[in-house]
Amino acid sequence: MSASIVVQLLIIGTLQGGIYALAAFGLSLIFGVSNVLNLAHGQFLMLGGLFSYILFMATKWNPLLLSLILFPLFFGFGFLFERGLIRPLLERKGHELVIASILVTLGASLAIEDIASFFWGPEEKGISYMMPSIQMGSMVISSIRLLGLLFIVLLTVAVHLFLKKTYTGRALRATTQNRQGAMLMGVNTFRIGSITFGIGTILASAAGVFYVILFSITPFIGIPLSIKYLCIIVMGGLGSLYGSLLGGLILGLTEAFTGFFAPHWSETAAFFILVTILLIRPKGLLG
Amino acid sequence: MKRKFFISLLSLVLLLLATTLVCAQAPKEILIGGTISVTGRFSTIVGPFKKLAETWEKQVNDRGGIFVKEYNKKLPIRFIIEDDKSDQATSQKYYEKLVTSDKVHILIGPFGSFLSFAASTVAEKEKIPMVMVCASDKRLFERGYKYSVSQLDYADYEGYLYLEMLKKEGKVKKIAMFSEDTLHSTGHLKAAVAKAKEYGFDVVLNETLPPDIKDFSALITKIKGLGPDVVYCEGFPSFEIPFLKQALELGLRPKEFYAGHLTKPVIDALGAMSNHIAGVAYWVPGFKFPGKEDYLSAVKTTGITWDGYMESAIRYFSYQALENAIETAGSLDREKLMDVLRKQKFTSISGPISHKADGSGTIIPLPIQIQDGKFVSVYPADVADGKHIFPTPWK
Amino acid sequence: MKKIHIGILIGLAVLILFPHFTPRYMTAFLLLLLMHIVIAESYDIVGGHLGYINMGHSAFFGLGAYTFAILLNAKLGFFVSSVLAILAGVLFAALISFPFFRLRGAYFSLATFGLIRLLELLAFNLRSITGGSSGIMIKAEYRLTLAYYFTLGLCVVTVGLIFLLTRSRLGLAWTAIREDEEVAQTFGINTFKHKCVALMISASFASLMGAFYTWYIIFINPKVVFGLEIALVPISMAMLGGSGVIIGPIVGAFFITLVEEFLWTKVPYFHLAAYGIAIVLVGLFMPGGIVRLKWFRKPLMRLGLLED
Repeated sequence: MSASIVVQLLIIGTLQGGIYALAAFGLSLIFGVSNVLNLAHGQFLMLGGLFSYILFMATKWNPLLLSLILFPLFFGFGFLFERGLIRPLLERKGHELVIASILVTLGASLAIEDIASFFWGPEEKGISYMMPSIQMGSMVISSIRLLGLLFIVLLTVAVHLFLKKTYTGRALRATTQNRQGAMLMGVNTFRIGSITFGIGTILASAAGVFYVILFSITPFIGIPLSIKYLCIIVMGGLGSLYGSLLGGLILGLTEAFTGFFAPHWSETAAFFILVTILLIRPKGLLG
Repeated sequence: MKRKFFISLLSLVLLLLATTLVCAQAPKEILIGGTISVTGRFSTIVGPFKKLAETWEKQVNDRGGIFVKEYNKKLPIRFIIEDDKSDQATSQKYYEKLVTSDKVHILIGPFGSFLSFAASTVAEKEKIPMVMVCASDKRLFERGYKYSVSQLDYADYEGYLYLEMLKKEGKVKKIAMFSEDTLHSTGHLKAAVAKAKEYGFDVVLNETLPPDIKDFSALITKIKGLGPDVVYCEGFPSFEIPFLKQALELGLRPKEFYAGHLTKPVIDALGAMSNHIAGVAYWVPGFKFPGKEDYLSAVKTTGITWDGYMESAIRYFSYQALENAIETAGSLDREKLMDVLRKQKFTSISGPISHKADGSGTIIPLPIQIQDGKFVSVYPADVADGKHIFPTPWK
Repeated sequence: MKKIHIGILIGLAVLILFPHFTPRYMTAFLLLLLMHIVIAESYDIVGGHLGYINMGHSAFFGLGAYTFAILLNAKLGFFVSSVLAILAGVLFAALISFPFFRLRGAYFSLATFGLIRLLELLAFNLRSITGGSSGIMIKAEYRLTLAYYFTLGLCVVTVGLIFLLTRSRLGLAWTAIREDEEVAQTFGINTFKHKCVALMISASFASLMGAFYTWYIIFINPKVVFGLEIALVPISMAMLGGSGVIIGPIVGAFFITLVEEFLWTKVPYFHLAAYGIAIVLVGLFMPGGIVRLKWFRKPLMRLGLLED
């Protein structure tokens, strides 16, 4: 068990964690503002991957650049989704709100995956785009994942500045902390909700692009991924953006180390940690 | 004289009456019942096959149907296919309906061993023949059931011919083997590992991974350290596409990759990097067995490609088995059909088909290799339409 | 006897005689319907009456299924295996009550949903006990009629017991917890005990149903009993029909199972999409479910099936 193996696994875990953090971040943002567990988040990830696949097959341009074209599109999707399906629910309280949000986001997820499967086929899809990896002695770093990690780091910094310095950002924080108070202060909390959904959806679609490049997708990956990401943000602490990053990192590292020593147990170990953390700290790590 | 004449006339009239009565009892058409996973988990593998059935039905009916000796004429066929939603209980329920309400003459199985476990109990209870499709789990044949058959040999044997080819070529010492954790693949891996050891290979890795895993970086790191000649990955495209991509990206360069259940989406997802990956298939264009043109035209009419849906070949030769059985039996009597099905011998699009005593078949997939974006069969020599390029010439 | 009681008795008689005068596949269909009712009703004890949306209800179903299969193969016989299956579900419910009931609302729902996935993964990994991905096969036999009667019996017991419980002090405590847990606590209700009991009762029906299902279908594996399809059954049916009233999950189960069977076999595509859109509409416009719609409310209340 050499040091270089450990370092390699740490690198792998961190890079994978970066991919997880990307989608989890968006989800945490959405929850903080709308207080809704969005089961459809994974579908936007899937659609992000699907659309970049379609564009790539048609043009053969660099898929990472192609995804930039998709960003405004997905902002629109998220915005409209919130406006049409989520906003009507926000007047409800407690028990009823949870039921309604589960039904609506779940129903939307099922509809989306069925329609996607009908129009674009249920088979496995992947983009054959590769970037040469960075070699450091006996260790290899996947360049694409490094890009993903850089992206999330930049994003975190950008969002941090956004939340601290801009009006919309401060309005967002206010809405998260106290919705009524924010409304009293003149914040259009409904608008903020839609905007946040739009941003969160962009992040999900970006994660989807990485998914289709690094792995492969079918129209049916959405719901299981939604559950995984929801578990990550709950583990990290609902409402805490850094919590979701931490959650993603922990998941990535767990998968890396168990993947090496006991591959059969890697998913189980990850889930075990998820559930355990939740039970020890019901509010999540940084909640 | 007059009496003799009348007797012969009477006999003739009676004979004519009898013949018309018998012919009047000939069914209008041959009803074939089955379920297909149009929706649900298996729809990515067999979703379009309902249309494939309809296409084959039309092909047969355009020929006039299947000749049934008992009625001395060709009868058209008609499929009644339900969607089992990839669920056992739904499949079983529909097979009940097909037998008791729709009164079909013969059953064609659902996709895969998993659904066939439950579906075949209906065939057994109702004593109606079922031609199972893509069903090769050994346990299906250990129950002593008399009313279901499969053309495929046990799932365990899938990789055997590939390993045999490696042994004959004598250039491989170490193999790293792993599979996804699903019913089919774990059975395949277990048998393949045993066979590899029997052939004297050094099996340096023998792992089963969770089926939904997407990140293989850790496993790849492990494999690199072991330095195998061949990396043997048994799984379905959703499992092996991420693995192969990441392996190539992280610099894993064995002498050859073997990947199970290769399909066109794998070639598309990997692009040029898919070159020289080996696998096994039930049918490739290089085959020269009868029925090839009809198979390809059926696939085309269904709107799919043979290499996008490799299981279409299996389903097609199951249809061939069905047709051959009815023709050979010359009757739609269930017992006769079942008897013929167990004993039948004919050549399908994928080669000769016969059955073992327990109802399983004898078809094993043959080794293939991706060469310049096409599937080429490479072994055995008498059916191969290409040469096995080994080791993979990495740049 | 009130009209409704006579109606119920006639209905029961029809159900009992059903297999004798209908084609076998109708019996198979009805078996699935009754199974859905059992799972949806037992879910609703916790989801509707107690007010904790337990998205992990099918975990009990799967646990019962596996326990039954393992014990039956170990030659313990049908009766013993079934009883132990129930026990497994109940004990598991008691066990997870301690950590899980510290969570509320969305956290609780999500954690319980994660639980199913965890059990599925454990079923994969603990090969030596569960057979892993190869699943477990019990002795193959044709059991439709018997399985139907067992399921019918279980369904009657489930609905009957829930009926009695909701009218008991236990049911009153559950309603109090659902409406406002803090207040209930200040009034001296031992909320934890009542929540735990609710979960245990809910689990018992689900795990026995899992056992019967295995007995009928002969072969199970992790994806079947712990998968997404079966996980969504109780939630969607109970919510669609109307969560929190006895007639709700029954209506929901009827609606979804019947629509799936008769309408959708005629339409080749978009089943899932239609299902999804239907659920969205329910969520948006009738979160109280079908039974609380204006059309149905009055007649159901007059029949005594719905109370407010």
